[in-house]
Amino acid sequence: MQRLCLIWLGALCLARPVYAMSLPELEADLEQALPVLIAEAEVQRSQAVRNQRATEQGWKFLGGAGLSNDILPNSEDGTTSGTSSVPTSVPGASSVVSAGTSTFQRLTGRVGVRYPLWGSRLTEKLALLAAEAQVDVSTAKKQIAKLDAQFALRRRYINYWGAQRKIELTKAFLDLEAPVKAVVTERKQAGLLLESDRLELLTAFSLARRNLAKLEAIQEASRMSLNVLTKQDLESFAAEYPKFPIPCLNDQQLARRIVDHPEMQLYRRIVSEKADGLQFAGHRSIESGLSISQDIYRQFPNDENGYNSYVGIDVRMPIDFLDTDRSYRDQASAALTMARLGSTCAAGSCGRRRRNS
Amino acid sequence: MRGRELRAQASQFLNAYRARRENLQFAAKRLLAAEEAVRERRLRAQRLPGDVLEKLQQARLTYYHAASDAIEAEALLLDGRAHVLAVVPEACGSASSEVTGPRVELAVFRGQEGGRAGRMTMGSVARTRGTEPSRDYAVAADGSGKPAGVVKLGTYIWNAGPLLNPSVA
Repeated sequence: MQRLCLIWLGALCLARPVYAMSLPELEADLEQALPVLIAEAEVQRSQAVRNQRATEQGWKFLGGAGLSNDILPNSEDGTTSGTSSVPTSVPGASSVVSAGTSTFQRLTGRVGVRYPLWGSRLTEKLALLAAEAQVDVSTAKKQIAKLDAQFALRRRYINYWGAQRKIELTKAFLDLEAPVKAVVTERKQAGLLLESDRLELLTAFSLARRNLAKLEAIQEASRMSLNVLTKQDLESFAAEYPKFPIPCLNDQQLARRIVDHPEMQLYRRIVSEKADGLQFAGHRSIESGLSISQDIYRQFPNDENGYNSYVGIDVRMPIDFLDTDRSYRDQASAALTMARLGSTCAAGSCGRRRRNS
Repeated sequence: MRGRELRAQASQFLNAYRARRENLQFAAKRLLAAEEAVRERRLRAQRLPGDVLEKLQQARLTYYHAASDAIEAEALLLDGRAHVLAVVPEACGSASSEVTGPRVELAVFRGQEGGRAGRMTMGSVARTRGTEPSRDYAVAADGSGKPAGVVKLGTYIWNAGPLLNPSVA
């Protein structure tokens, strides 16, 4: 009796525990799916870029320091021309005063602010709009990644569940093999059954064994896929009936709800971003800015300090700036057309392009 | 443009889903027919001599195929549902509208062979010898498998169903 108990306990320990795992339980782990994690990282990156672009808008601080070497001609009254503040007869400055010219150095420090104008301002604004659009696009992509992962998970789970049921069926059928084999062998020996009929009857079990091997392979492949999708190490488990929502089965309802699909949100956002690009495409070639600065300098060798305030507008543009602006507009217009036609995501970068069964 | 693509995709998946629902209903009916065939063959095997056990085994094999197809049809229907939900993620129906799959009865494969050695070795002459199907040869009771040489006359009865039903008989 004790031995029997020990054998029973040993068998209990060796037996692999089969636990039930439902589809909703696995779907709860989808946030850990690799594509979803990648999409989440992309959302965070795009948010950081948007924040960066936002801080780069408008006024900017500018500052600098420099050392200059000035050579000025002397005037007849003993001062350097162009400035009255630099006497040539400074004691100790004789080494830098040559015949007819004076040489001195100036160490300058500058602080100020700059505001971008025209093309520079537009470029900044467009960069911010693009970054904001990218945040929305990456958020939609994350939703699409989750939908894709959910779709893949459901399919794998259904495969696993279907294979599990067929394995149960096949094993139940194979349980008949021994008794049926005994009977048909006996009947064949009795001359009541042809050998061909006996073999044909037994072929059914070979077929079932072949099916079993295939089904176990399908189940194992599905389990491995589920492990990848959920980042778990699932052992062989008992699948329950796959429970997930029931979709709209009405064409009109489906058509209405497609508008809210993340992929549609993504495309709409891309189109609006390209439309903004077209709206602000003009005069981008004229880069300009308003600068307000204050300089402080120290002049050598006479060791004098000075101050200088500056307000100015600078402009930089191509000589043929009208053609450049036209090219900007053409680019923006083509990009908008491509976005409207959906070809922006033709390489599959914007989520699902097809879903074949 | 993409909206049209998605609508076309949704429509395609929806039509496939409807076809799979019909396929499941067909598989369910086929399974029911196969189950009934097994029941009938089992009743025959319990009461009649001859090649009834071979027939029962053939019916079980048919049931096995039908059940396998029914499971496949149910899995395909669920797969179709997942496809539709991939295009339109929102749920849009009550659980009562769900089509449930047919019940696969594993008890169909319960063996009838045990304890029936005497009857199951009754074979049809028509299958082995090509003579009159109404004549059966019994096997010797010692289990040697050799024919005992006893010729039995068979009788065919129309509408014998009630007689084969154990509760009636």
